[in-house]
Amino acid sequence: MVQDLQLGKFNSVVAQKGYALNKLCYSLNKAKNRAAFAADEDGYCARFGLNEEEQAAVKSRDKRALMEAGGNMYFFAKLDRVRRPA
Amino acid sequence: MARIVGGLGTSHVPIIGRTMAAGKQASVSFAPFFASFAPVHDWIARVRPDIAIVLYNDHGLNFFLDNMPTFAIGVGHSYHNEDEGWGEPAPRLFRGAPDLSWHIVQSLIAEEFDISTCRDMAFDHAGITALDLVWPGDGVGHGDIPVAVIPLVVNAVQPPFPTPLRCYKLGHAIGRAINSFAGDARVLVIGSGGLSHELGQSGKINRDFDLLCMDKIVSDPAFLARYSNDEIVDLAGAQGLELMNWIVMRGAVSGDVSVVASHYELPISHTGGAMMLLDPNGKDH
Repeated sequence: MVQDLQLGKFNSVVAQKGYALNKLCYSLNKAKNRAAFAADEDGYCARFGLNEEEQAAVKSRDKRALMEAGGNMYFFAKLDRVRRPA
Repeated sequence: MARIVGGLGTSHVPIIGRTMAAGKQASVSFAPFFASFAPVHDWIARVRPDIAIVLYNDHGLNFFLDNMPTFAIGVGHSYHNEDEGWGEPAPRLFRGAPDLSWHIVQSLIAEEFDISTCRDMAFDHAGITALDLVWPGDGVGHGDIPVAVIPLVVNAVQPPFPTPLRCYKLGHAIGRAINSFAGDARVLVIGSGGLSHELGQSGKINRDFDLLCMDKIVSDPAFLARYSNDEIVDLAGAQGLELMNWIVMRGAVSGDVSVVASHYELPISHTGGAMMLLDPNGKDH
């Protein structure tokens, strides 16, 4: 567990983590990226070079796990906007 | 000569924009929030601002972590909306005011505020929703906004964030910048965001603190500027930091103001919804 990790407050450990995770989430602003992610989450994560912790956090969609992996809430909120394929 | 004709604070919760797009303002549970803008529309028709400076926090649309300014002002001829993850929106263009934008930049830099400049920006729902509330046009948020717009983003994405005091001082500096602009401009300063909430969390609404903020923003804004950001997070949730946009607005519309309209709506989604219109000309409405 990252010590003293609170939403909205600076944390020097997580400030240096999660760049690939956040970059993946930022890409989900685009519809074609959301579709590609929905079709193959593992492949999409691999293309963005997510590490194991980041990939597990994305899979789980767990807010705490995403934060611990360095995810920023403004970006990981976009994971919830991906429509699952029918 | 330019002058600030008013200051507006408003929530920008996404459901507000969706409700307007569906034309359901009168039927949702928070209908009174929309109704509270009726005096704003009357005031707009009387006072006729022609430029809106919109202070807001970008929500992971225009700025990424690779390049994250603390304060950034639009200096473009126009701005556009973009997909924020909810689907490609109908394209909208917002006319800019580059003369005033650049004048503000020059004035801020001279006052030692190191503001970033953006000649091209994707305009976030936080800014668009505020404009659609003030200028509802066809009533479903699809119309052209009839005034020029200057977006000004306050970082609320990557901590550490600018302090409330710094935001208040920025507001003062923006006010001085507008008052020294030689061109004619009737400026409405809009602070978009808040009040208490935290993304994805119900139960982070703090009604007492929200009502305190709405009182102090009128009577004693320096009181709010004495908080630290971490204190505001503890009191109002992580997204409660959007209060910064109201603080900048109040700094710009400095001095005595009368309250044209004020409303607190609990809740709008998981947010303490609020709106307030301030008039620096001391007229009672």
